[in-house]
Amino acid sequence: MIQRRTAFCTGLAALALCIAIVPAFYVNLIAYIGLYSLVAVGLVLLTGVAGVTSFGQAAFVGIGAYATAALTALLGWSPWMGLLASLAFSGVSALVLGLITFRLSGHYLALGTMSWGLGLYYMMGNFEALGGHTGIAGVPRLPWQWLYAHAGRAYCALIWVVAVAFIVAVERMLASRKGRAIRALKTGQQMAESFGVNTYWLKVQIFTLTGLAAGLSGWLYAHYIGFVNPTPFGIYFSIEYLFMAVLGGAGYVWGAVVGATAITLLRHLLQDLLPKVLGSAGNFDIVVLGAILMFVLHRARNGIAPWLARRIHAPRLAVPSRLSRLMPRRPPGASGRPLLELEHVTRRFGGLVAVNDLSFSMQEGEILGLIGPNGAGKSTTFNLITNVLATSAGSVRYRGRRIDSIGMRAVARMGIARTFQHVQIVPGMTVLENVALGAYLHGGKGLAAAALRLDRAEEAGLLAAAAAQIRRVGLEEKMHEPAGSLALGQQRLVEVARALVPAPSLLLLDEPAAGLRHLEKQQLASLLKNLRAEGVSILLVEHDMDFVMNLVDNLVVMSFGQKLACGTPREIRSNPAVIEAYLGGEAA
Amino acid sequence: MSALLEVDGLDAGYGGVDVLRQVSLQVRAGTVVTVIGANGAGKTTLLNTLAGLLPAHHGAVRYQGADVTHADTEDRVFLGMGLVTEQRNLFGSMTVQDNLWLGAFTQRAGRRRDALLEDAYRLFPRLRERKRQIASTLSGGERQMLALGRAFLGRPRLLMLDEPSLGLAPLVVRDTLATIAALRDEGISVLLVEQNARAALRIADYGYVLENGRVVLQGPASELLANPAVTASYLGGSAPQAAGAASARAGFKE
Amino acid sequence: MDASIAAILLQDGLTNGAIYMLLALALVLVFSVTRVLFLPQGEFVVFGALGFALLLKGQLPGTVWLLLTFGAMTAVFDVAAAAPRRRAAVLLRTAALNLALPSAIAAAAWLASRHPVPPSLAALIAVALVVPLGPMIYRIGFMPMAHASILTLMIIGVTVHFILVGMSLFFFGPEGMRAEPLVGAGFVFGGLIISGQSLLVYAVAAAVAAGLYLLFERSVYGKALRATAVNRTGARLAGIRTHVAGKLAFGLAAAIGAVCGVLMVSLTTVYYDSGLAIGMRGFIGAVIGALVSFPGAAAGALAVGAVESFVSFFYSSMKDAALFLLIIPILLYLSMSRPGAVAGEEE
Repeated sequence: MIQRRTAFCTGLAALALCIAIVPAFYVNLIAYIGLYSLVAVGLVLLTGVAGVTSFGQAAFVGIGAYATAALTALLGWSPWMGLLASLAFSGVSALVLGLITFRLSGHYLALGTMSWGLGLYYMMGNFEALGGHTGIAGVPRLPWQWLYAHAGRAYCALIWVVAVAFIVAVERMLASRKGRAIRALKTGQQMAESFGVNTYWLKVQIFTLTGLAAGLSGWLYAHYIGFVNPTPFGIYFSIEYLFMAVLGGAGYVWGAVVGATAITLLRHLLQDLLPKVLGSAGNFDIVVLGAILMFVLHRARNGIAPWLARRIHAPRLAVPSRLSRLMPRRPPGASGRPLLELEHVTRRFGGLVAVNDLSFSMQEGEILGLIGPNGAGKSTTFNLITNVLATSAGSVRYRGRRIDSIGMRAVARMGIARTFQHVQIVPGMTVLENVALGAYLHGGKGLAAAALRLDRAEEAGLLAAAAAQIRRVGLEEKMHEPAGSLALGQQRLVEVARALVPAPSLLLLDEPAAGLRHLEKQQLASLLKNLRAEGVSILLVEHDMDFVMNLVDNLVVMSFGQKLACGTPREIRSNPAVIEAYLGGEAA
Repeated sequence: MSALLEVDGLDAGYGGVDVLRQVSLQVRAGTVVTVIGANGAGKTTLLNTLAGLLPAHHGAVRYQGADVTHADTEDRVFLGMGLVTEQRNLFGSMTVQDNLWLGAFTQRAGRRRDALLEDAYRLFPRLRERKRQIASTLSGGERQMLALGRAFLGRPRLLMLDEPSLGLAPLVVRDTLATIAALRDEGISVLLVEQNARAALRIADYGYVLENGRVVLQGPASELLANPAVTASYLGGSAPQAAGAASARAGFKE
Repeated sequence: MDASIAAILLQDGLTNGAIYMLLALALVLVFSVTRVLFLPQGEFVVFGALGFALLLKGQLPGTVWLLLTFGAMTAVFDVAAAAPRRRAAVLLRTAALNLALPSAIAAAAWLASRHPVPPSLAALIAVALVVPLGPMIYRIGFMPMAHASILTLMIIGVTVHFILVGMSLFFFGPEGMRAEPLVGAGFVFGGLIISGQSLLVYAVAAAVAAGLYLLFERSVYGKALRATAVNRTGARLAGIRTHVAGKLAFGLAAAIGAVCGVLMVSLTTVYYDSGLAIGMRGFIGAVIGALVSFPGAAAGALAVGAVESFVSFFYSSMKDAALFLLIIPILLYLSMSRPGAVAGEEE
């Protein structure tokens, strides 16, 4: 296992050496790889981390290149104004397109990116003012001649300085509060929203960032080769960038460099080799590239990077050893008022009435269990309270205020936290990072602060709070393990810890005991009782009768979407209608 | 007399975790066999594995003597194994008639299909009234009927049903289970997975109790109906206090 | 712009629109059965078009080699994927479908290139050369990933597009081709000249649309095709083999594409890389139909043809840009009107 820092420094040294001594042709190649990496990193971020695909990134490169070319070659301004223009134009267009495109979902999103990628390309190629298909020539060099001496080695180094700086910044961003939210976008959007993350806006932010990086790449490109035409900004290049991200390993930031290098070298090799072998014209390099990519998609869906990553040892996140203060809890509401009230709540799905005129209430500081046979509507009710679903009729009140239909983020802001029936953790993040996601609303530092390392103090606080809860649920020894490697029962505990981090007043647990062993269930039960003693109210849905009966203060039993009975465990246990509902029988 | 369906030491599950352990059971031709157990016991996993939707890790499944352990789902359907899943898997955006028609997909030529459709309407008259209705707008009980009818039209020898009583009102449950018993009279053997233990045991000939992926009890259905351990398995697990609770509720057995 | 010019533009637009409509229908068909957004549909058009043009000139089209190569690859894949004890049976069946049949078609093409044949026969052979490519491409590229997300399948589609365009250049060369219209005559209607070829296009489009309607609404096989997309597990439990459905869908798409190509090559010059532009227009139509509605896709494609015709009259250089940028508001509208729900995705 190589240490990360060693690998990084060695890589940089090797790169510097190459730039210094390889023949002129290869300097050019290395420069292009650097330019491509800058764009590919954005795609890795979008596709692999946030789970969003863009087929139009090359268009932003084009905007950056054309902006500076127009200003410097056509209007005679300085390249630094050109830089501002490149960033401004690519940034703003990314922002606008992102705002529109992220209203789309799934494959509509991908189609949208393809559309504007094509649209922008055709615009660039058809405006006479921008030189049409010939483009703009005579883009001036940057005012430092030494950059271009010796086959442009220094310029190549400049490109890589920018690329590496950006990648390091992205790495830092991904390790921050917002970074954890970004990493949750792919697999747990709903979960992120339930902890207060505005996923739409976050996606737009990342997208704008990638647009800026692409624009910057365009600026560097224009002043490197001295002219621009539309060809490198069309859909084929957008797709090549995507290939780079996928081949390198969408999800590993440095995979972008791996992918860019692999594809560029491969293409160069094929363009050299194939005509000699096949003796004719033909874009066979693209064919072979496509075939290779197809193979990768079929066999090694995560690309090359994971293979490399396994051989490099990543350092652990530093956790302050002292238990810093836990999150402050909200003061309890006026006594006498129920904490949670459901009144005539109904939910229909087409012809099916899953929840039918359900009314019950829950007091401050109690543990309430929601039980019933399979198909009774418990999960639907749970989803109605947490705003995953909207009610068809009726109201849900929390401390007197209506919370149905206010949205998941608003529910989180009111001090309500939840777990999920199907565990929603981010398998690639450590347990500590997963749990720290629960503290999202308690931090304020954004992506820029993270890149510049201005958020260290806040991070320390968030991580300490997360660590405290991890210790509380008994998972301390697994703190730095990837959450995906834990057994299901332990993953459930991670979910509970995460929900506890924001110090909620109401904790909603969806089948927390499912998959836990006997001892673990006992520990969880005593944990929940301790929480109650601290003033946390808990509503849980459960199937495990042993677990529930010995834990809750009151029960609500549902059957066929309606409330069948409510009362203390003892009352419910001896209620004939309840037993009937569970064991079954026939009418009359 | 060899069994229609033989399951031998079956291990199966999702994502590397075994939910079923060493499950063995038999369905004799012309009988209704029920598998009961609390939620999470592995009943759905069992049926999905028998239908070929989940792979078996160990063990064997034999249907009419032939080894089908690794056969494709579609092949099993052609051989005469039908399954109605817990989610019913109806073609929501298509009409009732189309859903039924597709159920008869494995049956040859058009005229035979039309005749079969008539059979289904005879067995489920409510569906005839709703022929042209879109499946997703049906009520829970009607969807269940449609799912049953669709499976019936595949002319199965063995029909496997996953919790047909799920989400149904008690009266409807009684009718549904009566229909299932009637299927036995039509020559269809049934493997019935149910949470509603009593109703299932009432129409079954033989029963198995599944707990945590293992068969913990089996026997003729009438014997299981009278067995307090069955109650315990549902409302309180096998922990010591459950035994006390079970005997306190002894008045519940038939 | 007076009425007569408008009428000519409209006729032009509708003729192109009819071809786009066929492509849009093919795209909706493939998506609704396999969840694949099949961008390379345009390549089928190119293969059909250039194949037809070459046959008319008395040359053997390169599609023959493409067909034989893909056929061999498919056969290898099939045998490799079969369980050892079933290999013999599988080999027999795949050899018949993927080796023997293509060889027969190739032989017919070879004969046709030697002895002049009537254009209608050449057209038939050109289409026959392309149709088997559909199931083969499905088998090689998509079937191994049938459970993947729509997005992954789309990326594979893009990859396939690259491969096919590269091969297209190799087999057909960079020059464009055009052919004589299949139907020469035309007639005058109220001051407007309607060409025979246009009428042929309308007739074929109507026939295909009607055929698809009958297939999907009236036959159990068509409904089975639909069912595989509506609820995959349910379809399997009804004994419907989803892979057969996929191959059938791709075969139909290839046939429709090739027919479009044959029709199109008499109207305009077709190059080896015309596929993307043509395919994207069909795509816009399909998107207007939300990728699942045949009538919507048809109407959308016709609209695209008309809009393109008028826009190119006024501002020809901007027509491509305008068309593509137009998709976005459409997608936006679609995304808003079905929040969360994704076309064709099951539970």
